[in-house]
This record gives sequence, structure tokens and C-alpha cells, in this order.
Amino acid sequence: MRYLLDKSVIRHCVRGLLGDLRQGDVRFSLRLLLTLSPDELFISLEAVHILEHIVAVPQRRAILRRTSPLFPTRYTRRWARRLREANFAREDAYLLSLATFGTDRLKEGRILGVDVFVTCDLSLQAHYQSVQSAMQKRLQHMTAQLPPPYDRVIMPQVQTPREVLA
Amino acid sequence: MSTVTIELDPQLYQDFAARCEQVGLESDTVLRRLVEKFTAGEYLLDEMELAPGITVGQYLQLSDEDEAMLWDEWYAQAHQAVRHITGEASPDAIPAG
Repeated sequence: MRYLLDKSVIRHCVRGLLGDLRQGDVRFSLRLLLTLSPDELFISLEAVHILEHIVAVPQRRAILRRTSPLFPTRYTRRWARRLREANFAREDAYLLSLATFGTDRLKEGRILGVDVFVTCDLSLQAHYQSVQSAMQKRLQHMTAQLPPPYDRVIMPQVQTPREVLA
Repeated sequence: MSTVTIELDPQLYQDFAARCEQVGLESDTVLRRLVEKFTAGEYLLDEMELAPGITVGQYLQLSDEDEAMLWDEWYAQAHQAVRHITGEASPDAIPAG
């Protein structure tokens, strides 16, 4: 399984690594980071940039070591626009699209997309589930015209860290 | 070797000595290791900078809502920095599912 962690999960991991484990979301996010295989965990380039250039404490390295960047591909922005038409916020649409059309390398990427988009944002999860069926049809319509491997992408599940660990 | 002298109030000294005994280490060994960890950045103080303009202590005091807003700001900055980077999947890349 491959998982894309959104920034709510990453910020909870940072808080947990700083020693504040009072919130359930923090505990589950950190447990997810520390128990799943690093081969399975991906974060956006934006999250990588935050951890490399903005957050300065050494705890950031624990997250960078256990995750890999997921690069957008040539169809990520197109699918993000479709998702925005379904009333997702700009960032959410982009990250959900990255979960479908992201790859692990700048060139000759070995994977395409992830199985699960992990977020602590319950309203995003609820909205996704409400439009998933309709968006699935739009994705099929779009990918029917794309070259391999982009014609075989799927929409990810959207789960909370607690659901992933269950 | 250089020497550092620190003054502790009596109660703190007693608690420190008791803790050292509990873990079975001499007090100077404990202090040396703490200094090593602090110097290596592994041991954080509230006054240390977590990110530009905010210390660890200030960050840990943020409400969940304020912390989320801060990360929104950081995400917007990060997006500007990386938005032109695009990868390319190999034709035989393994799709999810």
C-alpha cells in the first residue's frame, strides 16, 4: 500500500516529535509515521520544502527520513481543476490529484498514484466521499484519452491516521 | 577539559542527585550527556527557534486552529517555491490499486 500524508498529518507528527502527545490526532499521526514502512509513505514537495527550509528543529529529519516526495506529473493540474469544480479547496484539490497522478521520481518514475490519502480533516473526507462516485466517472472519462501508465490511475481512499492503523 | 560551574537551588539539586542515583549515573556524566545532546540540537529548549519568527515554546502554546493557519502560510510559501517542478512516470510505472 502507498499513502500520501497531507499537511495536517505532518504537522501533528511535528508536534508529537516535540513531545506533546495530548491530542489523539497527534498520537495516531505519529504512530502511523513510525510504524508503517518508509517505502509506503509519501509527502508532497510542499511538505518537503516546509521541513527542509522552514521548520528548523532536528525532529523534522525523522519525518524526512521516513517518507519520500511525491512529484506531480503532467496531468496533476488538469485533474486538480476537475476536483476544484467539485468544490474542493485549491490545496485539497491539488493534493487529491497528486494522490492520483503523483510519481516518485522526476524522470522514469516507478509508481503512479497512491492507495490512500491520509488526512485529519474530517470535512474533507466527508466531502470526498459524497462526490467520489461522480468524480470516478469523470476520471474514467479523462484517463480513457491518456497514454500509459496514466490511463490506469485510480482515485485513492481518503482515511484518517486512526482508520489506517485500525 | 574545560569546567563549567552551575548553581542550583537546594531542592533542585536534591531532585537532580536523586534522579542521577535512580538512573545509576554520576551527576557530571549526566550533565555532560545533556550538554552533548543540547549542542547537537537533540535537546530542545522553549526559547529555541522552531521556524522563522516562532520559538518551540510559542509553537507548543498555539491552539490547533492557529497552528493549522501557520502551516497554511508555510504551505503557500512552499508552493511558490516548488510549483514548477514536475515528474514523469515511466510507461511501466506501477499504478495504485
